[in-house]
Amino acid sequence: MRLIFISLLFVLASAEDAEFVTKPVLNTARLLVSKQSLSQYAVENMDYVIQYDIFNIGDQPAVQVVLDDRNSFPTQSFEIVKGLLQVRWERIAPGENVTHSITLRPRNYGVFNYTAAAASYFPNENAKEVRVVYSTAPGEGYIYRLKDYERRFSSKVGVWIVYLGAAAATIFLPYFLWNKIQTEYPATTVRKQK
Amino acid sequence: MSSRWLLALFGLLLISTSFPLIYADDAADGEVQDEADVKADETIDESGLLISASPDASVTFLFTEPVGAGETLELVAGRVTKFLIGFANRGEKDFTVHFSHTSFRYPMDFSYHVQNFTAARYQRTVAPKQEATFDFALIPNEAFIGRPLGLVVEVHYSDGDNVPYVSTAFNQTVNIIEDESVFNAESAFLILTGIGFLVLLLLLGQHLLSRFTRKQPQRVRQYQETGTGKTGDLDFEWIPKELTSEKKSPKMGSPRQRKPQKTN
Repeated sequence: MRLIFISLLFVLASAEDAEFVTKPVLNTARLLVSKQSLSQYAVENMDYVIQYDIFNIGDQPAVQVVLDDRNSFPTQSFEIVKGLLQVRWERIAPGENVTHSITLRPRNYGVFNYTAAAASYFPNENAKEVRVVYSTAPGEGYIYRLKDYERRFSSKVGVWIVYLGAAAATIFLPYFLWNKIQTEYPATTVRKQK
Repeated sequence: MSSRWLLALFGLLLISTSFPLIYADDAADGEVQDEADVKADETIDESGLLISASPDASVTFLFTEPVGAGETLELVAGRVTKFLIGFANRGEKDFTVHFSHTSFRYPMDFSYHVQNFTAARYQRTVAPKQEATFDFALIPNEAFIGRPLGLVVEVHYSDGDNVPYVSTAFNQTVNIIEDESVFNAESAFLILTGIGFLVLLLLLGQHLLSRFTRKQPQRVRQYQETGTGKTGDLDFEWIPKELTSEKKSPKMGSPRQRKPQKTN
C-alpha cells in the first residue's frame, strides 16, 4: 500500500511540468486571415481561384465570423463564377481553422491591386463589441491577355496540322512530278553490239 | 523507516515542481507572443537609438507551412515555409506597418546574421481596435540541412506621430531537416549508375567464368592472305558474256609480219 503511494508520488514528481510553464492566457479569440491565389496566372476571361484561410489561435471560440471581400473585386473588373464574397461562420473553435475559396473571372487585362479582405468576429461568447481583422493582401498582380496565355500554354494542334500540310506539299509535289516522268520514259535494255 | 524517507523525498520533489507557477506570470504588457522566448525585442537603428515594441501593439505568429512547425520547430530545406503574422492595434492611434524582416541567426549568438531575407513591404495602416494579418514565405537553403538556426522575424511599424517601433514576432531556434519525400534527379541518377555498375560486374563475372570453364584456349583464327594462285579461283561472272572469249591471244611475232587489219 505504502509502495503504491510512494510510486505514485514519484511518477507525479517526475512528470513533465509543461503545464506549469504558462502560455499567456488570452481569454479571447484571435483570428488570422490569409488570402492567397491558387491559380498560378491571372488571365482575362479565364478562371482564377482565390483561397481564404481563417486560423483561430486564441483560446476562446470566435463567434459570428463574417468574411467580407466584396470591396476587393468590383463587378466591372471581375465576374464571380463560383463562391460567395461574403461568408459567415457561426463559430470557430480555438485551434480550429476554416477555408473558403472562390472562383473569379477577370474581365480586363492589366495590372490589378489585390487588397485585403475584412473579417469581423466576436472575441468570445459573451463579447459585445465586434472586432475587425484584415487578411493578407497579395498585392499587385498582372492579368495577362488571353492571346499571350494561349501563345504559351495552348495545345498547338492547329499549328501542327498546318505544318504537316506544308511539309506534305513540299515532299509530295516533287514526288508526283518525278513519278510522271518516270512512267513516260521507262528504262529500255541496251542493245547488243555485233 | 526508509520508506518514510522515500515518501518525504518524493513529496518534496512534487512540491518543488510547483514552484515555477510563481514566476511564470511575466507576459510582457501588451505583447502577447505564442511559443516565443523573448530574448531581444529591442533593436538599435542607424542613429544608435534603441527601438522597442509599442505597448499598444500585439503581435502573434503562426506557421502555416509546414503545419506542425510551431511544435516541432523543424523546417524542411528546399520546401516553402509560410507563416502568418497577426498585428493587433490595442491603442488609440493609427499604426502603419512598414515591413517585416526575417533572418536566420547563429544559434549561439543571435546577433550574428547567417542569412537575411528580403524584407516584405506591407505599408498597411491599422486603425485603433483593428487587426491585420501579414504573410511571408521563405525557402531554407539545402546548405543548412542538419543545422539548428535561430529564426528571427521582426515587424517594423510606426504610430501616428511617426515614432518607429519594432516587435519580434518569432525568435527561436529551428532545425533545418532534409526533404525526404521528393523524387529528385540526384537519387535517380545514383540508382542508374548503381545499376550500370551492377551490369558491368555481371558481365565481367560472366567473361571470367567462361574463361575458366573452357578446357583449351580458343585458337584465334587468322586469315592468311594467299593472293591469286590458280585461275580457277577467279570468277568472271561480272563481265558480260560477249566480251569473254575462249580464243587465245594471238602469238606474238614481229610487228612487220602482222597484216594491217582491214577496216570495214
